[in-house]
Amino acid sequence: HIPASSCSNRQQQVCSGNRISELTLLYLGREYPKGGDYFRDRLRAAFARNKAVEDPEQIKALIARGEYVARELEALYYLRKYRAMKKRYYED
Amino acid sequence: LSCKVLSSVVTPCYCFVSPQIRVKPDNTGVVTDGVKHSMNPFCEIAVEEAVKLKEKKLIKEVVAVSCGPQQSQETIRTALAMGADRGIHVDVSGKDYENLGPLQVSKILAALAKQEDAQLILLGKQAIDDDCNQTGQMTAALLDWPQGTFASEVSLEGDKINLVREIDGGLEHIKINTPAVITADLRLNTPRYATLPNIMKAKKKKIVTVKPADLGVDVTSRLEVLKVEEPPQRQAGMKVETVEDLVVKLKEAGRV
Repeated sequence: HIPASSCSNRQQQVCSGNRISELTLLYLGREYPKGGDYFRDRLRAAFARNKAVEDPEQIKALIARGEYVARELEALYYLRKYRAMKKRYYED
Repeated sequence: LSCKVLSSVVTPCYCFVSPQIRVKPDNTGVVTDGVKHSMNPFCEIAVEEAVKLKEKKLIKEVVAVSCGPQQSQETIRTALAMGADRGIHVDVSGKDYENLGPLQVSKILAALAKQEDAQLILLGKQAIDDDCNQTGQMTAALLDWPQGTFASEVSLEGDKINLVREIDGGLEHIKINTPAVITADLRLNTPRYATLPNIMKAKKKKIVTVKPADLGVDVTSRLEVLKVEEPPQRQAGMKVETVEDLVVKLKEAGRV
């Protein structure tokens, strides 16, 4: 995570965008099957790896990937819950 | 239908991926300390339906209600993050909360519906901790409103509601008047996830706390729990080599 003070103006916008993505994913990852801690560690490592990326196109692509992961997590949680309810309450 | 919808997210109930649920040593109930509580899955579906109706501009306002201790407010916050407009927390804690059942909740919901002039009450069909499947039906009876339970499809037509219900024999199509009570079944919709940005925005929405006494409701339970036990341990199965062996064993057990 790049502190906002060391970013240029445009980079600052990107920095806060990154931070929001990271926090959103962190929040989503709390219920990850392998554990919230496992998810958090992997998430932090991933963001740290790409800390130095400056190219705006690349940044856009990385943020898009973050949003994709977020959607995948939501789908995972939904399916898990749906299947649990279906198994528990409905005979097929 | 320009109306207000009371969406009940009543129980902060046991999280469905909770670890092994254990019976208390004195057999009076189930251990709840340290067990993660979250919105009842069927109630999530109910909230989603209410928010959808509002997004289609068929209803004016969605009010999320939860009855329970302080932690119930978190469940209401989740509902607000999903799109409800405001919340009402009916504060019930301690022994009263342990004994809170469908009858008391129905009385509370009925009182709130009158107070808020709600036209529609949406709840989950049952709570996954007590599996009563009674609150919706009782609320409708107390208010003398029609009810559409186990709804898998809801559509508004003028001041009437078209409903498809999931019943044992298949699907039942009914048309009911408003105001009405609807309980949500699993296939009604796919609830949206309360994302962090939405939760942040939802902090601006209001949650009002009231007590059952303020609504003129007595939450004393009419039921007494005598005993709570774990289900019997599963007996080990027996393996047989041939069909003949199986028939012999069945005959021995008196099953054939």
